[in-house]
Amino acid sequence: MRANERFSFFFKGKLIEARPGDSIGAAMFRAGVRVFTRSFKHHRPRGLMCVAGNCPNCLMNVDGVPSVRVCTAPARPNVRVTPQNVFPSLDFDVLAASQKFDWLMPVGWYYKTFTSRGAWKRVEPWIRKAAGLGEPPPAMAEFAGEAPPYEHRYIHSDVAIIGGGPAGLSAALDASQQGLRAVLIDDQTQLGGHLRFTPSEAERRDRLVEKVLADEKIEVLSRSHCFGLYEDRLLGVVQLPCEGREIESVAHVRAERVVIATGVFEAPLLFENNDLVGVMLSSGVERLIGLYGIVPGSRTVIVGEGPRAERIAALLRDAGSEVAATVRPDQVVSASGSGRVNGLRTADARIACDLIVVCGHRVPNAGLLHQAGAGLEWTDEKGAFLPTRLPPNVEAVGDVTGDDLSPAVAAPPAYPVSKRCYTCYCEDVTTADLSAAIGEGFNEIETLKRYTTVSMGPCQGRMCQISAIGVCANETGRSMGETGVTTSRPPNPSVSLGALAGGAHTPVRRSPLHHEHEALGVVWMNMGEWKRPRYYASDPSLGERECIEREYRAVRERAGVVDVGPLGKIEVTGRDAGRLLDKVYTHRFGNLPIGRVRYAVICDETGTILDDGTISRLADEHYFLTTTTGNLEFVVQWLEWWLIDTGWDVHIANVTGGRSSINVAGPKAREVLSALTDIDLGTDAFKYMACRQGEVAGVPAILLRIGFTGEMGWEVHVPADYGAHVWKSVLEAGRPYDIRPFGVETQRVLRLEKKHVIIGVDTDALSNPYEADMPWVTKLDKPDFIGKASLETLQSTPAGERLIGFTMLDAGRIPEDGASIVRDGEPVGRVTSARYSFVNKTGVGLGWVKAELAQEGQEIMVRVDGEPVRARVQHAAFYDPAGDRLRM
Amino acid sequence: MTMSNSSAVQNPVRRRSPLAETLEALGAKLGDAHDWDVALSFGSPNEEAEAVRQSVGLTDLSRIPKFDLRARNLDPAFALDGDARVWRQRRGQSLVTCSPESRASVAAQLDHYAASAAESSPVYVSDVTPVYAALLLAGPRGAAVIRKLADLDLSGEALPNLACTQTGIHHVYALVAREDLPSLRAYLIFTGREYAEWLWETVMHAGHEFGMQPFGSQAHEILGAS
Repeated sequence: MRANERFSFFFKGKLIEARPGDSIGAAMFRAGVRVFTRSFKHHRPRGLMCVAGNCPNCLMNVDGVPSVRVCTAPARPNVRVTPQNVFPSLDFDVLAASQKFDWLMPVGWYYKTFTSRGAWKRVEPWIRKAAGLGEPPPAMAEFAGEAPPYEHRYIHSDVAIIGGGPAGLSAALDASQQGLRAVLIDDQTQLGGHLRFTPSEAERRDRLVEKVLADEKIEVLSRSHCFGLYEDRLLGVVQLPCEGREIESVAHVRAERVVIATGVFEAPLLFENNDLVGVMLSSGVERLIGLYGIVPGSRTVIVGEGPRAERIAALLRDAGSEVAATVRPDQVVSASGSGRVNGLRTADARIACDLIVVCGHRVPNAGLLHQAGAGLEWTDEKGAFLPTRLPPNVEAVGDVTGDDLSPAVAAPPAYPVSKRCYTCYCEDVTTADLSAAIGEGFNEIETLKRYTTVSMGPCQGRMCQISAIGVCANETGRSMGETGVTTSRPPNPSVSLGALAGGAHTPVRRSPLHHEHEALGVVWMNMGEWKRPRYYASDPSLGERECIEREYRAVRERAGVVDVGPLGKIEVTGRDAGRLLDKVYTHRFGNLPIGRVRYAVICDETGTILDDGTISRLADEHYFLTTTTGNLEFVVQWLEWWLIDTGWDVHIANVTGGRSSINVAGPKAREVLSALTDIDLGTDAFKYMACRQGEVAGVPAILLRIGFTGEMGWEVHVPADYGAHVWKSVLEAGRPYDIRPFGVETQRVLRLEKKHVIIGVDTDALSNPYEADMPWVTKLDKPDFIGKASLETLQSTPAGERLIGFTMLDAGRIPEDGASIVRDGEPVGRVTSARYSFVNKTGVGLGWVKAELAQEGQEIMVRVDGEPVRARVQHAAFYDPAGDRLRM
Repeated sequence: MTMSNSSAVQNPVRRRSPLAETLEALGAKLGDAHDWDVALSFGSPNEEAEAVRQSVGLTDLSRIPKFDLRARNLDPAFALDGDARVWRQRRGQSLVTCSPESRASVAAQLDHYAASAAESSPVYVSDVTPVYAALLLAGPRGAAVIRKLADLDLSGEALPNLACTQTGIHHVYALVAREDLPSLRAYLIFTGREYAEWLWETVMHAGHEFGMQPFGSQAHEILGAS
């Protein structure tokens, strides 16, 4: 598109012509659109007022994104603009009839009316529809396959300047001249602040902007709102889409020094019908004329006095509008018109017009300074709250300091107590509402804000705070300074939740065998950040249960292989390695013979089980630990913590990602692996709970003979870069035995039949080894270790609950994990794991029950689909209780 | 303590980078380099190198040898011969990297250093080559890409050439080390091997707006020689 080429976009399905540089709102206004939105509660028509992105009068839906301030959003070809919060249309909204019944909705209506939860739940959806701020944008899930439309970025700078007006531009150039890196944050599409629409300042503006843009030390963030100034000068900045940037993003800006050059904004004055379409702020009129060449009215009345009113009158006359009168604010009674302005009433006249220009309060935009800890003090002479007591390394420059201010009206202001004199345009709060609330006792500005919601809408007080303080001061007889301001909090201005959330954050951990699983038709499950095979759907004609059974049969009858790469793996080396393990784990490891493996449990000081795994002694000063997947980082930190200040010679290395780990299990596992290694895997040469180092498929490997599945099997750990090679080699070597890969779900069935506990699934934050039916893991006769004192006490304390195994007596009923165990309808325990056992041909599970119900053979009732179903307690394993198959 | 010899393999089995499948899917031509499957190029090495010079590119360097060096009292001037780099992560812990050609020499130097350490101040060395994936982000827009991912000050004062820093990239631990190519800024990003593909996708996505493309080892050689 050429620089001067006109283009079109859609508004309510009709084409609107726009010129280069137009905002959406400006193009619509030029095309004759006057009503831009309907008010939040009363559904009154509202039109452009500030043209600066401050007020809520132009919130519209743009390409599916709600609540876009179209007065500043750049027009782009083919965007689709639709009104929001209207029924059925902008020009005719039946909900505007609510004005007739506003006596039914006094201030604090919600609190007075919906005193029961049921009542609120019934009406809330209707209220949300009637008084909403548009429909939310598409859910993230609906962006599947495309990049999320939000992102974050991080900026470090010596100086951050907020505000691209003359003061901000000068501050940026000053910083650069000092050799500092500066980031300049401006909420408009072009730099220059008010100079942009002040013809006499055009040359100055061009000079400043040109220098800033040419300066490599200055980074400019245009159309970017700083919504928060946090501790240590961290700035939250939302960057809205504009030319050259399609994506809305949040910038985290950290700066050594922050310069606030946010200037002032203009706020409306209080008179009846001050919200009619056609009532505009003087700065809004300046912008329409200066930026877009649009004259907003043919016959104008100006409300104001002094040089500013004179300047606006001259501007309008030059632009071709007839200025019917300039009226002092204290003379105004009301604006008149039905929806749109057709006149202004004073005490003694009615002046016909189609535009009322209000020279309103000029309010220092000091919210960020307030957030940073600065004070705001009222100054009668300036008619404003001015920043004081600035914190270190935060400065204020330009108009925000109030140097050039004078009051628009006397303070506190005079105003009519009326249901049509709007203080808060966002929430439709009137002077009558504020007066009534103060009468009810909400006479402090903070409580008044919360009760009436004044200043809590999208403008966050920009339009209403000064007036609300004025009303509060007037009604309570206090001064403006005594009334004070409400607390400034981020985000201000508002930020979309999508922008705050940013793009996809969830990291994904992949095993070295990830792509091997995909080639085998894996069905994934998420376990924390890990992707793990749930099962393999290698045959499309089979359902999940059939696939799992097929994998199960392979392991029990022939051979299976599972990827256990996500298991935590830690190497502990050094002269004192065994000493550290004896201190941290409940079992003995200092005396573990080289080449042996031992089950290992960690307890905390209270005797609560924290984690389990295996510890293998590979050499005199070299141990190889496995941990549960979820507790790896914790175990590393726990070991390091208990090593601090011991002076022991121990080195702890987390090698989890560097090792690919598989478990080859089943009665034919020996034959499978023997084809790939020279290590003697014979029953006597490589006993159960032994370990060896050697080669498997030509790759250096650690082999542990352990039996989580209940079958003879070896865990094989190899460098991750060879993982796929070893996996494929095992499958190839196992082909004569019809080996099958199996997934986590099959593994869960296998281990449950052996009654092997998964820490964190079958135990919780209160479980100790005695209640968990594993007293053999504690060696209380060894020297002190973590939790020993508590375990000694627990050993002799009657257990309140016990972890039991149970067999379902109704073979067809399998409880869900977490199901209740009940007695006489009352819960007496819970199921932690339950699955159908192919070997027992019924459901088996683990669960916690009150100790008196933990007797062998005790009948218990387990809830299945809401019904109690009989089950029997069994302490021995459900499969191969003697463990013969492990020792084959 | 000396290093584990877990990756000192004397066999013809080629090592696979965690990104091998990702790179193949992007059209990489794989070849053998020091017993690794390496992405040689994605088409024209010269064009890949030029794209990096003009904007930014990403390549997989997971194959470079990496050693975890733990020495409580490591001399600040500690250095190794050859092309080894000692990236100081925190007091007492460093990551040592080198070219595959220097692997044996650097390993021997580290073993010697560990063996000669005083008993009261032991030194531990572990070969962590398979533990970490390594990406090389090179080009004038590289810093802009990282700025979308990590809260890092990448100015020349904060992170000069041959300096490193630890950070989180979308909540995942990473070591970012600056090792410029001739006339070209470049960052090595180390992260856990299991995050390699996710990190690759994340960095590529962040670099999309700058036209970032992957480049192979041949383009890397061209850039290194230029």
